[in-house]
Amino acid sequence: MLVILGILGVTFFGFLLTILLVPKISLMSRIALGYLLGIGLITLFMFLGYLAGLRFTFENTFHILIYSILSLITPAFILRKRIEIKENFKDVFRFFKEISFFEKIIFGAILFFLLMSLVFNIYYPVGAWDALALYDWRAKIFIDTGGMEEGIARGFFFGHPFMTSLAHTFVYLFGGKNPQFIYSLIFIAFATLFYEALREFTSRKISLLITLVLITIPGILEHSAMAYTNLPFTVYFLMGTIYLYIWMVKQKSGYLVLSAFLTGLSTWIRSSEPFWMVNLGVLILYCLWKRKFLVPIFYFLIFFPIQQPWKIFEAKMIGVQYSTAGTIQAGISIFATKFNILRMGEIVYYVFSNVILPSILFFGLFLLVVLIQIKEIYKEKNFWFFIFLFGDLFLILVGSYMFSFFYPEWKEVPGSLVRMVMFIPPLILYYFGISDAVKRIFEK
Amino acid sequence: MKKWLFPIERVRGFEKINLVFFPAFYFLMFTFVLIESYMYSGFLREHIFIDLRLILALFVFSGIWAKTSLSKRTVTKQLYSYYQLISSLNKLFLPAIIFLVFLLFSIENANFPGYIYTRVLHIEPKILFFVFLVGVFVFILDFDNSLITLFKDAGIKRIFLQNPAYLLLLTLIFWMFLGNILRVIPFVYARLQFILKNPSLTYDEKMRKGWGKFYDYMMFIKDNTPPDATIMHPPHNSPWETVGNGGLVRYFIYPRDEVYSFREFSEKGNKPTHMMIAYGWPDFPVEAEKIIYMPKTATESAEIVYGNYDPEDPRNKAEEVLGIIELKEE
Repeated sequence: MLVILGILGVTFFGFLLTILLVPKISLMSRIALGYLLGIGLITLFMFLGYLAGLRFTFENTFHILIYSILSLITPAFILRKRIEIKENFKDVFRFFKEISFFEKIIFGAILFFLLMSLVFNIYYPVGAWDALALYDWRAKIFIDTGGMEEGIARGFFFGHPFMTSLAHTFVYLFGGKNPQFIYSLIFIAFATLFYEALREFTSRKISLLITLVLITIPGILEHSAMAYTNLPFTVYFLMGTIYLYIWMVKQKSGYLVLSAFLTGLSTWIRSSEPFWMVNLGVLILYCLWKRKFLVPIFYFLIFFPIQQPWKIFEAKMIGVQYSTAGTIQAGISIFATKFNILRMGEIVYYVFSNVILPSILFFGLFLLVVLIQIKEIYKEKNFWFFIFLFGDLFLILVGSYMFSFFYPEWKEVPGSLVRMVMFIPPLILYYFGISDAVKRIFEK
Repeated sequence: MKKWLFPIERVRGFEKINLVFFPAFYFLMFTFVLIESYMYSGFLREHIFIDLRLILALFVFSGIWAKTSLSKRTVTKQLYSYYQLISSLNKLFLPAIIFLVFLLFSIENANFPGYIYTRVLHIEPKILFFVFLVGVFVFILDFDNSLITLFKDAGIKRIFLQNPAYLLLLTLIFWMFLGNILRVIPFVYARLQFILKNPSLTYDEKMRKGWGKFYDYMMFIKDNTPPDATIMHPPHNSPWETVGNGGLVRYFIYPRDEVYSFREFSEKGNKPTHMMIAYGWPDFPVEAEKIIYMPKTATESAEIVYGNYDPEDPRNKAEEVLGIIELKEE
């Protein structure tokens, strides 16, 4: 019971934050974002609290949660008129009243898969290999010792930031026995936000259909039922990218802020793959193009305070090469001193076999949509999307190239690469969903 | 009724071939699936050089095309009667097909992968699932228009009936969705069935289901060593992928420490106090206070032997032997 209250508290904190950040979004989006922002930021506060001397105990975590909520209550109350609760509820009822029989079937199927994920996670304990070896192991140490000294002493403790481990810790501290349900909640929030993001551009019917396709992507559904970091990373990073894209196309400022928060929090889940650089790079390009020079600074002011604590801590604990500057420096030095065209050819083949080929249908869809609307390719809506997609693919190539120098057995871990780029199919699916080609088929 | 009296001759080229061919393709599709299901996965690819999934994709394409042709063109009553026939047959057999496929999946899941193929029917249920998909697809195509209200409700526009690129787009997304469903339904079904069959398993029982004997062995180590023990485990390679993985072992035996074989100290700086006996390891003599062998069944009790560990002892040479050595203090 207490753990449910804890999760509700976390979601409420995030909900209050959305009142401050975004004026107009649906109630369901606000709740979904509330959970994502809440769990991300509260775990970050737990980590910062620990660095400031607060052990991982129930009392400390409870205080962090309560103070976080209290700090937002007053400003949220002042800005309460931003959200029209009555209208929001009416929208939810309207949705159920207006949807057609066909949409009801699709909605039912979506609910079925989301519910299944939750049922599996409530029933099955944390049992996947990496989850036991690292993520839940760290939570076990936090709970047992209140800190991380014991874990650090035993080795293999870093590698990935603490977000999911601290989320497990939160559940254990609040009396929960099995923290795996938090992944289903992330999955449900993902489906909700993806649907709502599609609704920014397209009809309810198409949005529902594409959301159904999204949640039945085997890798996504399977990962929603295990305690790995790949799905949470995909959700935070992808929604960060999509919100940035919506801001660029529609100029709704709330989405820019949300993007900064979500992209920042994605680095609090997995920091070894710097996909955030693509979002920042595209934003800078866009702002230079549109002469909006202050926007990137505003974005950085949110992004870096979330991203940096872990990077600084990691660099301090295991070496300066793990800092943001260290990673960039290593990349430049590899390209400047060790550039090898043959190795690059091998990497291109490796990426093609493990990124493009497993998602060949998605890329086929993408290509077909591009061909159908070839005349509209320079429209802002299409152009910036390509930049995001090609930026991510470019980073995968460059990242794999660098990785091949750090890790001689790079060819033996294609599974990690496949999991790492889990966000690519949903990204293409989003573009497919909002494309005019699909609209022409389904919309009256 | 006049509509059906127009001759098919008005329809020309590939469109006409497709219209005439599709009803036969429907039966052919069932035949292909049954052959592949009876023989083995990949049989068609090996013998007629076409993958079953590709045939299914062609079938989907052909079906959508036939449907669009029927809605645009007028065909002979005789040809239309074939479409009515496959619609009726499909509706008649679909519930039975659904029941059969799910029954086979249940039996397979209740036993082991390959159970149906090797022990019951010499049929691969995963391939037979294609029959279910073909049935559902033809049901959705709705050649006799009984589902037309559903389609009207969906409001699918005619553009995809007129432009092949849009038709390809729809086919591609359908194929992708089908591929996804083919993978996720067995995943969901197997897990759900397990939960319904075993709703009240304890944590230990669930972990045992997932990790098998490895979990029992870890619990055995916990039960037979003090909390401050440091356990040495085999190297992390075959056949010790699990027991040799320090990251995994430490989760189960915590607060005990673990150390890789041949290292003098653990990461934490502890000297090993115990040593695993697992699948032929250690293959060298060890000075020991005592050796505890893990019982093979839950009803047996652990066997304790005092004295040194000798790898040549027949007990230690047994393939499945698991146990723990308490090392002699220096």
